[in-house]
Amino acid sequence: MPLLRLENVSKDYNVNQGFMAGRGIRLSALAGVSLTLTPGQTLALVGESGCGKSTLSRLALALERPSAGRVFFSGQDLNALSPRRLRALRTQMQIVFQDPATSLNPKMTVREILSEPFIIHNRKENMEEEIIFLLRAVGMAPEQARLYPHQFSGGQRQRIGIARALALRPSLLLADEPVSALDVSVQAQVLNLLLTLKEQFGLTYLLIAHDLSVVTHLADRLAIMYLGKIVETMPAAALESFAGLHPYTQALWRSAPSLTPGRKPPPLTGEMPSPLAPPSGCRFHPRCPEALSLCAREEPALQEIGPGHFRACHLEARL
Amino acid sequence: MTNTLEIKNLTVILEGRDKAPLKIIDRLNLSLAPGEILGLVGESGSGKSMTALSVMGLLPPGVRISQGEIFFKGRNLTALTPEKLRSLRGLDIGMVFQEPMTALNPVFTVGRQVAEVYTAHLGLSKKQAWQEAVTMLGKAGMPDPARRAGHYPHQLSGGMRQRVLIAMAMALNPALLLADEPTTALDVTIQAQILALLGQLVQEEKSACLLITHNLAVVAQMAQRVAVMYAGRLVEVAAIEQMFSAPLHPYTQGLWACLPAQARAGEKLPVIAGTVPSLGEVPPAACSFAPRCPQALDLCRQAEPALLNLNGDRRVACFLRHQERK
Repeated sequence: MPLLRLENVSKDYNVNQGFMAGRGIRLSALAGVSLTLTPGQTLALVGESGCGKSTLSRLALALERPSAGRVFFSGQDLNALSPRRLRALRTQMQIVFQDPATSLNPKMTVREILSEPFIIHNRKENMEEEIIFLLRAVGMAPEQARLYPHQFSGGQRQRIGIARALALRPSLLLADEPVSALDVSVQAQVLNLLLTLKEQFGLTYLLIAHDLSVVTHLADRLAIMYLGKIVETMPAAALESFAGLHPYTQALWRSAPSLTPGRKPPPLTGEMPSPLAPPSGCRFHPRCPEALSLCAREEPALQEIGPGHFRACHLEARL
Repeated sequence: MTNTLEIKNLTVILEGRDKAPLKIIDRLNLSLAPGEILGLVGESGSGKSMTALSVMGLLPPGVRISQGEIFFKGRNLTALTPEKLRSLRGLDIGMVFQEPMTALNPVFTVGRQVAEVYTAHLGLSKKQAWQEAVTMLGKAGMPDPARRAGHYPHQLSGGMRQRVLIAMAMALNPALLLADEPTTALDVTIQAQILALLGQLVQEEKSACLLITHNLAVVAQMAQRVAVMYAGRLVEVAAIEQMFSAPLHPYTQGLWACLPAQARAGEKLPVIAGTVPSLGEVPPAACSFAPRCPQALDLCRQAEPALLNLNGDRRVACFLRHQERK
């Protein structure tokens, strides 16, 4: 059974503020997305700002309700659960935030921060031992429990955030850009820690990133999003068979500067259009270097073009 | 030909109220030839942004240059009055910052903010200046510049705002462009566009550019030379091909090795143990990297290695490398 399953999920927001007031305009942040995450997998959601990846993650954790479609966690429909059942299920899904400086309460010691999950979910027996165990698991010393967040470096704060997320032994860990606020040498330490903890705690990861190069190091599967849609999902290894990839995936990959010295022309011109007025047909067609006339008229569906590799594109698969 | 920028023995300190001053930049030497892009790389707290602020004379309160000189086209900037320095900024020295939202004034249209460069420095009329601003926004890749010039910063995307900043910085063809993390806040496809634009403008105007970033791949794309800072000191300077094919300093080697792009997916990355020292933790008479260095000798903890020329323009501050060359 999949750990997390999104079935044709959409999310619209009413845009009724400021100069938009009273126009009844709806912003489609997520449009008919389906996704499956099996236990033990690491799935990376990749896309640029405004593509809907954060909306998707909020729906996956039942922090928001979808406008249409259903979200299942361990087979249970999250939006059909009673608040009490949902609260109990929440211990199974935890988050690591992007910026450890703003996601830890500066007035609490590390011990207090790590106690919170136990107190909230009323699991206070063995709490002290648990906190020491968690600190050790993320590579910190138990004596550091009496310190405050500002006494730590960025990398250590991210370790504290990870320890807090692990406190209730979740099965799903959602990490929203977990290393993008960190220095290069610290990024590697945290990426290694995430690899170790996955084994140790038997975790399933849902990673969110705007840059392919870092997440591909951790991910088994990738889901590439553009303007509220998944345009491609595939095994991470499929990035190597570059030619058959969705033109947007290719552009994302080639946009990331490489370590080979020398200039490269930018693969894409223009910017992502507003989700208030998404383009007709394929939402990527106005920026697509290979767009056909068909692309402006008809929206492509996700089609399997290789084992576990789904792509929404009218171009012939060249695998 | 004189260098566009020549930083000599620059030391910048943070003065404490009742504590001894802390060194933010420690005896930095750096030069930049006309038309050259130099990448200045380092992790947070290494002093790379303070280097740019020193050049512009915009150091925050409590921070000052205690030693050394900065020459811009042969003129000593550290000896100039604040008024003289202000007239150079924007005219001869352009600046692009990381966060385009905070660098723009939210209550004026972007066209007016670009036009201000022309009225302030060239004394153009408002109408002429607006025309020039629209042309410059177009050069900076702004689509439909005549209409966009009338927009306020909040109406533009992050990439568009960065184009406005670049238009302002490059408006008067400055001899020197200081770019501090110009693409860090941007999405990858927009980053690629902005980098290409910066490279093209710098080349057309033959400006020298100091590109400050923590992203090694951005440097590989843009720069001809790269200088690596660690804890306020330069540890290695080399041409881009040399640095990326064989870094010499153990810190640079560690930094290069821990990039995920260099490793196989799912495998542990080699890491540099420990963390970057904070101000005041840097040992004064020792190599600043010695506490984290896997190859450190006793000597490294007792004396500070100089930044020595190895061959040509390649400089490295490491006793191990110095000994190998003897």
